[in-house]
Amino acid sequence: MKMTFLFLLMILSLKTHASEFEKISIDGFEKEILSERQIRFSNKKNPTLVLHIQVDRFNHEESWTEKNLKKDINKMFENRKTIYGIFGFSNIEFSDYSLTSIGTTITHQVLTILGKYNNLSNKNVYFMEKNIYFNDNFLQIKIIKENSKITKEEIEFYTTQIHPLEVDIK
Amino acid sequence: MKHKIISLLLLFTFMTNESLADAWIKEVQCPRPLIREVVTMDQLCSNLTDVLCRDTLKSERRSCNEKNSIIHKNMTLNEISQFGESCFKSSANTFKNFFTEFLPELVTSMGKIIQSGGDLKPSGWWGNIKGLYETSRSISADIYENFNKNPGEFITGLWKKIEDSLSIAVDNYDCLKSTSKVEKICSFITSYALPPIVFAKFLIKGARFTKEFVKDLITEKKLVSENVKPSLFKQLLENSPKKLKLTVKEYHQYLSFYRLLGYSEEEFNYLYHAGLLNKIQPEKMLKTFSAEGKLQKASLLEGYNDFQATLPKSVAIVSPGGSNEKQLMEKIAAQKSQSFIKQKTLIKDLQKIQDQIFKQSKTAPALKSKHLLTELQDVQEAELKMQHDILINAQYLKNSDEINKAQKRIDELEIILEDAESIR
Repeated sequence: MKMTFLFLLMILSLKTHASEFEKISIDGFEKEILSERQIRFSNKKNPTLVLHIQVDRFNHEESWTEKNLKKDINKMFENRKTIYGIFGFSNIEFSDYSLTSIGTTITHQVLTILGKYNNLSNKNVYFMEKNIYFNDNFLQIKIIKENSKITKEEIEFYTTQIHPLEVDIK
Repeated sequence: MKHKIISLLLLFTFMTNESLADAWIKEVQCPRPLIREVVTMDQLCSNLTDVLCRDTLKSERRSCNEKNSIIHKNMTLNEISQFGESCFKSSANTFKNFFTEFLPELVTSMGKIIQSGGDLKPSGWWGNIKGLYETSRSISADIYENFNKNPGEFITGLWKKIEDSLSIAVDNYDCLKSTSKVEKICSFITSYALPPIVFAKFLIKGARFTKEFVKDLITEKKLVSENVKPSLFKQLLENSPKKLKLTVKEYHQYLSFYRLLGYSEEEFNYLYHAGLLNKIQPEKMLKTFSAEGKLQKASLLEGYNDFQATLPKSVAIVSPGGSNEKQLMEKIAAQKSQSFIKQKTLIKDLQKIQDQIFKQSKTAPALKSKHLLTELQDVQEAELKMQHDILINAQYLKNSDEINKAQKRIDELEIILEDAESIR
């Protein structure tokens, strides 16, 4: 009986520690839950700055390796370029990308991509995308900003606010 | 036999030669005031009494004074935007789900098609496209933002890509008043073009693919929605001694062509039954809007009334939108569900047979193995036909899971059969 109670207590404490996906919040941003796998944040002061946080499935066979990173990213870039083109976007560029990891006891791969494109109104749109890989899913944080580049400080700030390792995305 | 071969060859030429097919379609459509063009008041009115509009319910038929259709060639940004919004509204949850569910799936499907060089390969092939899901999520977010900023601009961009291809569908609803037209076209688009894999093919494979697809769907949809027709068609196939042996797809191609000339489906069925499809070569067939065409039609349909009298009575209840339409539609839906279940069982049996033959052929001696592979091909062809039927039923029942499954399997089977044919 005692053991069951302790076990339940353990489970409950774990649950409360991991924040639910839908409960993510960022200071100064308005939250809009688009679906159980997608949240949009819009900046109250700057309407040209938005964040999308999404979750999707992930296959370990498709994981990134340093060795093939350049080749795989180029392939993905070509794919995106075609799709962007079909939807009327132009001049897509990947200005930087990196494969890192986060976590202490268990590490998780993080693929970061910085780039830009021209939207349908031909305005420059800059983006930063961070894909953080867990067991079966990945969490994507995407910052979209019109007309001005996204700084390292901004990326750091938003990533810290979101606490990606604490988000329960199972 | 000779005639049969010639006409099938002509049909094949028509189906494969895009410019010829387009020219024919263009020619037969010319006298008919297309809704995307500016039409005169006289044309609008005469079109209403034309043979093409006679089957349209009065409550759905557009008025003689209705000069501006919602959909036309020079739609303004605002008009397209309004159309898009009505379209989303008319299809209930579509708007809500479009960006979060449909769009990521659409982008994923597009990625798969691009990676496989224009066509989807059998399942498993795309298992290792790195970054596909990341791409689909990322691009969906960008599209969402663009739509949010300027919905009209986004809808216009997409509309322009499919407008031409959908013109057949749009023209098909020429007799309807604007509200009914939007409802019909949108339900057409959402029922058929919205499975992401289909829409992805529209966007990537371009106008020719889409046009063919839409043309087929229009005729198939007619055949499915007017439930008694398929059994009548089967009856004709089985009983007519003079019949042309056509596959269902060829039947639709023929039917589509005759409809464009101005023949009704009943009239076409009569020509088919009476073995008159061979009588005049397709390129000599005239549109029924001209005096000569009317004469040609009259001579071809000489025995039409006698034929109608011999039809089973059940055909009489097939009037689009009669007073008992609701009960009829319910009955049709129930029948469709039943036949759908039967088809699914049959498919499983067919797939079991394929597995057995495949296993046998692996251990059989060379000669026997060759024979078994031909047998396997026959069973696969049978399955392909059955999958097409399942797809039609699934589309009717709006079962998107089954639509995707059937479409995927059709793609696989087509590739397998094409490969087998090239090896031969």
